[in-house]
Amino acid sequence: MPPSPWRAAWAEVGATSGTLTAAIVGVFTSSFGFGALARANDLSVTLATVASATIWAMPGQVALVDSYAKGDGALVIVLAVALANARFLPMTTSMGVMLGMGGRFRLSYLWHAHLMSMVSWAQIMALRDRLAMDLRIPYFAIFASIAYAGALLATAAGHVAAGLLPKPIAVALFISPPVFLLLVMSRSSDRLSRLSFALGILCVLLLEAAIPGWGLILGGLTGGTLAFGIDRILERRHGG
Amino acid sequence: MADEAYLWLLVGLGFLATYALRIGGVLIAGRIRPDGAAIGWINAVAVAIAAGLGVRVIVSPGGALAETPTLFRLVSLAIAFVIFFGFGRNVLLGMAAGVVAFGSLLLMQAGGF
Repeated sequence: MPPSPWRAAWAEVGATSGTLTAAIVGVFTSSFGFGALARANDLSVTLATVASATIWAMPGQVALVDSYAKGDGALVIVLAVALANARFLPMTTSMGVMLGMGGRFRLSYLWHAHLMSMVSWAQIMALRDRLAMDLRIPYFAIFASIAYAGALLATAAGHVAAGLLPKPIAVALFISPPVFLLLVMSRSSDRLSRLSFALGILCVLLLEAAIPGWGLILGGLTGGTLAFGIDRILERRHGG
Repeated sequence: MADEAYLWLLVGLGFLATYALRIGGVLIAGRIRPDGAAIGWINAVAVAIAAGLGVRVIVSPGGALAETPTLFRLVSLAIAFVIFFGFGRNVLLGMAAGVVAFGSLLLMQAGGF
């Protein structure tokens, strides 16, 4: 009898434990930093942890605390959170298709959509050629749940332990999330992903310099669209 | 306490704003062809945004990272990539090398070495 998809997915998580560990470190350090930031702005440990559990998107969480600390009104704060997290629309779309969420809508999708973060999205996209369709949702649910639980623990730990670590060491840890993200995405081997990666970096940096605050969304749209167009042209010319 | 209640409200609204984007994506995913051109374009945009976000945090970060020299962050990222590719695309080793390099540079700057 073949193993159940969940058992096979656990085995896959074990086989990719190095990446999972890196993801946990990345998520843990950024959430630890968020806990410390929340404490510095007078949010209680409960509220900080609930913010991590519900918003579950670091740029949006930071935007909320930062905007509140500046004294912005509720509408401005909520818009800041939505804008900081706007990338979730294309990301959950691409993840939903990758996980086979077409067809009949299932209630579990509501939870899977919530579980998604930048690191779990990057990991599942990197493994799309390796994982059979029936393993994808179980693998994603296990991987993302571990990262999620780690983030909640880290938020509370960061709130409680803020100031205990020497500053250079604490700050050094904050570089791990972007490094993780870029390394995981560099594993993509298909031409469209590589083009999108390179043009996304270029366009986001250029547009962020030209239109501060909008570079990420506009640069991502421009870079991704250019990459898609170039890929289609190359495909027509060379047949793949 | 009024502030605390206001903060709870903000967190609740922040959750709803983010969750609406997530669910919007899942609903769109259920309505497009998995092998069609639309998903190719959406994937390309999502990858471009994620890559741009990663590099933006390195090049022009906010918070505590903003107080560190850009050169340190770029050198640490380069070291992470060298180790990553040198050890068969090992993400954990690459990331560890980047963080250790960055921490070492910061400690040297602070006079800790």
